[in-house]
Amino acid sequence: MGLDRRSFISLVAGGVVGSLATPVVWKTLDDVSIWSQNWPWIPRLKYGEETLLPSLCKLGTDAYGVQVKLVAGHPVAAYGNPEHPLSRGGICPLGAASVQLLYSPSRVRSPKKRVGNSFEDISWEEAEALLAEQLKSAGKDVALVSGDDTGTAAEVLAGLVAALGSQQAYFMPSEGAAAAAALKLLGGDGLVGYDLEGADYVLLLGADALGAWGTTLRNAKAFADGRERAVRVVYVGPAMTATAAVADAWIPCTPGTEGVVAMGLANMILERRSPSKVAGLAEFRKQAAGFTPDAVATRSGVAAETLLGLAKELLAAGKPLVVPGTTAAQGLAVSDAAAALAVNVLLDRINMPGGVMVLPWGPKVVAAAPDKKAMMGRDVVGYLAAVAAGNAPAPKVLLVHAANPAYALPDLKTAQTALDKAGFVVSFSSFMDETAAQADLILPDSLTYERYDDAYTPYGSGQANYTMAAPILKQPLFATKAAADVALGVASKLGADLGFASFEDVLKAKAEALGLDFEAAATGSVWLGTEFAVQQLDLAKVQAPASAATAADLTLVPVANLKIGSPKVATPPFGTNAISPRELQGKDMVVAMNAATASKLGVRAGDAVTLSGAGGECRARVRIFEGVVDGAVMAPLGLGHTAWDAFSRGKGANVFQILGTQADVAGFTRFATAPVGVRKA
Amino acid sequence: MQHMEFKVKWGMVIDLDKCTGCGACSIACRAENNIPPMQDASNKLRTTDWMNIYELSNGKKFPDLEIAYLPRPCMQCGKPSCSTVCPVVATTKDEEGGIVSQVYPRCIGCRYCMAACPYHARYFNWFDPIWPEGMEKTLTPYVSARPRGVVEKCTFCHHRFNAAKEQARMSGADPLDLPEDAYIPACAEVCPTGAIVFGNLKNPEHRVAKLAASKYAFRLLARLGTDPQVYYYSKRDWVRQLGDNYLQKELKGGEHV
Amino acid sequence: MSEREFWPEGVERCDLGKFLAWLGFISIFLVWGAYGAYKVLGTGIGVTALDNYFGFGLWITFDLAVIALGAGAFFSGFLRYIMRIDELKNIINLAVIVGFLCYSGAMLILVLDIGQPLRAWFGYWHPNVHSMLTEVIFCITCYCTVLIIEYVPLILENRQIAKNRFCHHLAHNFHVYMPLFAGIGTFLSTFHQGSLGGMYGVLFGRPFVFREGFFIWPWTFFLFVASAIASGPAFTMLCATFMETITGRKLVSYETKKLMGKIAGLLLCFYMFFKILDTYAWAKGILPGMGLTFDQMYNSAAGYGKTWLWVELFWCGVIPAIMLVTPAVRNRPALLYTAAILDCVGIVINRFVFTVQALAIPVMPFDQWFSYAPNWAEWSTSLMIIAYGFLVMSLSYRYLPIFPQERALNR
Repeated sequence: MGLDRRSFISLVAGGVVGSLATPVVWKTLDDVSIWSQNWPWIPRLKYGEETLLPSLCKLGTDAYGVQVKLVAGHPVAAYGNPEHPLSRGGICPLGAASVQLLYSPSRVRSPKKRVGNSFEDISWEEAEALLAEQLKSAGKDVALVSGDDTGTAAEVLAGLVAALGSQQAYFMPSEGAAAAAALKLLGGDGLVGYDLEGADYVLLLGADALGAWGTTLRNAKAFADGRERAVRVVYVGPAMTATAAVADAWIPCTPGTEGVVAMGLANMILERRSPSKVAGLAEFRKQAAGFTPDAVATRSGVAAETLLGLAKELLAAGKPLVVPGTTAAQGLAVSDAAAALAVNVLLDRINMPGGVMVLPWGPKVVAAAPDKKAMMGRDVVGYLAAVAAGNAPAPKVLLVHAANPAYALPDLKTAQTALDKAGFVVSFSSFMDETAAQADLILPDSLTYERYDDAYTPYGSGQANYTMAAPILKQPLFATKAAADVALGVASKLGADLGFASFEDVLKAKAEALGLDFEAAATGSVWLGTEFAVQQLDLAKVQAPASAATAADLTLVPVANLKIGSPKVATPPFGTNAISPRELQGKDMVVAMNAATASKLGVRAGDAVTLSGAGGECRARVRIFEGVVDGAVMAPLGLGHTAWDAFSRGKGANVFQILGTQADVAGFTRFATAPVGVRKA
Repeated sequence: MQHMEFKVKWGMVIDLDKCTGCGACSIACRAENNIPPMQDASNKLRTTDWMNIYELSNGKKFPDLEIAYLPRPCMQCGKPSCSTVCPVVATTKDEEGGIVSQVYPRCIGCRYCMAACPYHARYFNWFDPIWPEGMEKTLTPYVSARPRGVVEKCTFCHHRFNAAKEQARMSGADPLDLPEDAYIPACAEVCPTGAIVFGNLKNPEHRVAKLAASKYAFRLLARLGTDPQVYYYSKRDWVRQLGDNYLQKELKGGEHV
Repeated sequence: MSEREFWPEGVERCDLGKFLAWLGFISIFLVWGAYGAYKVLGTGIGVTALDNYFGFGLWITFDLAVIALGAGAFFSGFLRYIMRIDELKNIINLAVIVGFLCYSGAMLILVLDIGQPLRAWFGYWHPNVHSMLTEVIFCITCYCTVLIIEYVPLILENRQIAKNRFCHHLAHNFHVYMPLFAGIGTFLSTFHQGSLGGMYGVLFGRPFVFREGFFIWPWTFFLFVASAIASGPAFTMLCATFMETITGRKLVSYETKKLMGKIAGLLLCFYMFFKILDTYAWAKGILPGMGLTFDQMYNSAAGYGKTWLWVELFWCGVIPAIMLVTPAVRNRPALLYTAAILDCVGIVINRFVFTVQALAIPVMPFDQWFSYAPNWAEWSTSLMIIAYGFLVMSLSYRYLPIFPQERALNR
């Protein structure tokens, strides 16, 4: 039977009508909602058993406990750890982005050796052999810069360097080091801590405690609890920081004069109360007498009556606490820290509830390693400046661990020169940071979630504490290795046995030294110290602080901001959105100044300007913000990366490029503020 | 659309005198809800931030300036301006708890809801989401990845509500009478200063209910009639005044604030 | 068979080469627009300048504007077939085609504008009866179908197609039932013009557009209907005049144009009366009730100054209304056309401010003004729709007998 045209059309039409009567067509149409949701390029979710494992976040300047959520063994999110004393459930912007950072495009996924202007992937055997060979030929001309001043990994690496016969092991700059140096200046010994939880009045002299200073999350919890108890928090500083925004009062002062304010307060307190049992009081009284209310007002811009009000509040408070610090969370002048310490001494706040707590240094387990106290007493900025100037020999091998000195040091040009002079730079960075990018060998460290890690009493802690983190991933995601394990291996290869086969063993020894059960520690148990070293402080040693950059008309106030990054890490992929137009507009860094300063400089909101400082210039856009004192320019730290990845590279400028340094007491360098020039670009 | 009353009304009180604008809530939200990272997030009109943080200022000159940070999740309005206008019922407020839903596979991407929402709480997927290679392994199993062309917004971490209800059922408790800590969105959980308090506004035992009843509590644009379930709290008059629009004479009278 | 055989009987058209060149020129815009559409559909609406503040922009403004201007179709149909104003038969075909182009063009733009075009039909499948947009989706698609039904008999009247007996009878029967379709069209069109206005009026989170109203409809519902019928006839008349200018031939008698102008003028007077009342009530009642002032609704630095309002209400509202109802003005072609143009521009401005300015205004006191400027992807696709209109209109003019007066007027 043939199919004529008419019956063909009938068939088609009938077929169409017929199929419309079936659910096939309608179901298919409705399914559009499903398949237009599930294109092949939209990732699928993976389901599985959920677990929470404790770990550490050391991406900022502090170190605190986190909980990482794993689904079917894969980490998916990090939360604060309610059980951890330095977190209490809170998390910082870097911690919140830490799980995704494991897959950051800038992670170094295998060891790399420099070949000309580029890198070549090499095996771990080859990499470790190359390291051994370089160290061998360097002899004792080896140096270490580590950014991990709480972890035992730095102890292992410093042990390696010491075993090779070198004393050149440094930490990156930290406020903890400046505070400890101030304590030492006054004859004390230990880590400086603050019992914020116990204080009933907190005077923050520059310390952006709720921004990026010290134990930021713990500070935040203490602040929140304090609110309930009507604890008064007063912030003295040149800019409206995160802390100033929520403090009970913000008292603006000229940048770098917080120490002057401290001395003025000391003077006023001494006029009203003569403490007993304070050594060196007579000499100190002489020093302080120069800081009359008027003199302080002239130098700091804090009116005499305001200063008097503060002094009265301190005297009236039951448990006042004075905390020195900076908006940059580094570069604090030792003299400023000492002046603040002196005020605490006058108020009898040392090792008292709610006062300044002097915490023990913590045990050392790698015998060859230098004491942490000794390492923290050295100034990396000064060392690199000496190397750059040829006043100190350049190391033949420079080991860089958990630090990015090619980006995050003041007077950056000088630091760069020193790095260039070093014979062979080895970076242990997990990321292709600026230092790694110019290193000769990259031995990528595993990230905390992939290895053992620990932290002993981050700066600011009110009592000594120790947290250990066991790896939460069965093995590193990429061909990375814990830097401490690499150091142990290479040490034994060089015949400089450090006494341990693995970093895990080192941590076992550490746990034992603290009297802590290793298994418990590795599963999140936190050790808390209850000893506070008795101190015999002598105020005679306090040196009157100078104002920073006194001669400058215009001062740069760099503000550390964990949203943007830290000296260790650039903006993580999950952090870009949190950066506001108040910090970054397009590709331009935004600097803030008040309207009076702007009109003096002849610039207006939105203007592109060139900032000039020691060592260089950088570009920025002007924001008029009345939360900055006259004559100050507030700039966000953490922008302007040249390495890393598209999430941070080429965005804004690196303030360290223009941040000059100033010699300080005790062989330290102050750089929390610096002179700056501003002109229209 | 008919206004529904619920036995349970999940709500938030955000203490603006405690918020430091650190951004942790916003990033934790991103990770929890699988919002993809953005290489260039400088155009804030194109970014997706379910929890967006505004900076408020009292507008005064140095040294009298004061600022406050205002985190802005979805207000989960009692009378949502968005859900009534949706032509395809892709967003509704009809579930016990009073959370405004958002059904991605239903949304046609007309963006009418975005035009309707005065809080800018709604975000459009302008492109398909992209995670850097490997990072898609960190997707949580809670919220499906959204393709381009659909609108999304904060859901008070609705998946956590479901989980808490499930937990309650398993243990024989009443899923409609969850204790205060049983269900908390990611932002409230991680806030370092505890500025974000979460709970059932209808349970007088919950902290949110107490805080929301305070004379220092206020809601954004309440006089438009959206009836938000997110409250803010500040002892500073100027902060509360910025929560809504007031005519000069009203501010002088001060009756609304 | 020569191409001439396809022309309507007794009219003159330009030679084929020239016509093809003209189509070639139009195609430039079609191709550019097609590229824009490809980018939009292929990569996402992110290629436009729209953002989370301006979810609506040029496209929605364009849609609303052409739908308002396309109202000439339903309203002329209503007057011609229901009110029996016979004079309008001279322009009704054009009105239908313009209407068809406006609506089909708007729907093409909507395909680009919604994020998930594959789900466009969800409005039918999962309708939200409370949403004005649902009503719009229903009415626009139905009315577009009606316009197709009204357009088809015109196509069937092509000289060669009409030779087919079936087509001829079909066309005839369509004409017989045209009053029915005109009635349906009037009903649908009134509703969706209103619903488009209602879409904005119900936005109680947007003080610029929010209005109180009558029963379930905010006042904008009625204002949008009124403004559409006040501009639609003027636009149809302008289209005819524009075609005359291009072709150099008389197509519609000036009497008919004057009538269209008069209709538009009367309706514009009606509309402006209520629009001004509405604006006053809004500024004095609704805004203060929301704690806002009239001044806060405008910001010239952001590009949304009060100039827009004065231009819309006075120069493109009151002035053309007065002009169009004045016989002396209507008798002078230049003034008639000027008034008609002003009328149309006013309505486009109205649709623009309702769409864009409404979204630019910071409602939260700590928010700020933002500006929006469309980019190439939006311009190219919008121009493509205009080019599509030119294309269909050119073909219709050349091959279909749409102007019953043409032969007589050019004798």
